[in-house]
Amino acid sequence: MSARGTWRDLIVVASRWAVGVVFLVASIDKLAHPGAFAQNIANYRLIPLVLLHPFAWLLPVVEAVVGLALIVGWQRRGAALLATIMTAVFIAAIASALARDLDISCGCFHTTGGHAVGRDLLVRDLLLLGAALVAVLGPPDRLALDGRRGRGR
Amino acid sequence: MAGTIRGSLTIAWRQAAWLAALAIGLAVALWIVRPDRLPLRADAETYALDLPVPQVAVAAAREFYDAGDHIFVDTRAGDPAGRPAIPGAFVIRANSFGDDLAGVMDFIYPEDSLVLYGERSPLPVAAVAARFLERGYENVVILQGGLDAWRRGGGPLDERGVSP
Repeated sequence: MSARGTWRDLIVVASRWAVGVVFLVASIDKLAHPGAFAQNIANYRLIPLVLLHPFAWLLPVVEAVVGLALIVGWQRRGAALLATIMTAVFIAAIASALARDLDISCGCFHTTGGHAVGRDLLVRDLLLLGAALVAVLGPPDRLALDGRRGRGR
Repeated sequence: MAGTIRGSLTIAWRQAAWLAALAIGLAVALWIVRPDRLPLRADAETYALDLPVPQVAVAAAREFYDAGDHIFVDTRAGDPAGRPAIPGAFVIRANSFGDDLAGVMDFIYPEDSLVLYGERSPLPVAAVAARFLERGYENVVILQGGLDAWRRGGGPLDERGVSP
C-alpha cells in the first residue's frame, strides 16, 4: 500500500474511533439517569412534551449503538451516517438555544452540572461532524470489523 | 468520484436503517426490563417548565371567555384558515409576530388581558408570550393544555377557523 493510502487509512480509523468514543462516553450518564436527561432536553424547549420521554429514552441507546459500532468498525458507514445526522441535530439545537439566549446545560456528557451551552460547543460539534463525514465517505479500513469480513465496503 | 460517494451513501443509508432498528429494539427491551423507566408521557409540572407567564386551567379560561374580559390569541403556526379555533381569537404567531400584531393593533392594547393558546404544549406558546412581554403587555397567560384541553373541556369552537 502507498504512503498516501496508509495516511488515508489512518485518518479514517482515527475519525471512526474519535466519533465512536465520543458517542459511547456521551451515552453512559444518559443511560444511567434518563429522568435527568429528559430534563436537559426539556430545557431546550424544542421538543413537545409528548415526545420528550420517548426521545430521552431512545437517544442514549442510539448513541451507545453508534459508538460501539464505530469503535469496532461494524456497519461503519451506517453508524457514521447516524452520528452525522445526530450531530447536525445537536448543532441546530445548540444554535437555537444560543439564538434564544437560553442559559442551560448542554446535556452532552453529564446530565447534571454539565457544560453550559456556548459557541465553543458549536465548534466542537462541527469538528465532530467533519470526523463523522470522513467515516461515512472514507475508504474501507482494514482495522474495521467490516473490512476483515469484506462487508460494508 | 461521484459514483463512489453515491455508492458509499447507499450502503450508509441501508446500514443506518438497520442500526436504528437495532437501537429501537434495544430501547424497547430496556424500557421493559428497567424498573426506573420513564413513563411514556411527560407532564409539564414534572419538568417545572420555566415559562415567562403563568398558565391557566381550562375552567378558569372558560370563565374569562364567558365574562368577555379577556382576549384570546391563537399562536399556532401555519395557515389558520379552515382549522378549528376559539371563537373571536386573534391569530398572532411566533414566526410572523410583528406583522400579525400590526394587523390587530387597533384591537389589542398593552393594558388588555390576553389568553394565549397553542395546540397542546405550552412551549411554542411561550415564545409568543415572551414577545408580548417585550412589547409591554403585562397581563398575559397561557391556556394550559392548549386547544386540545379546551376541546376536551367542552369549550366553544369555531370549526371554520379564524382570519389572520
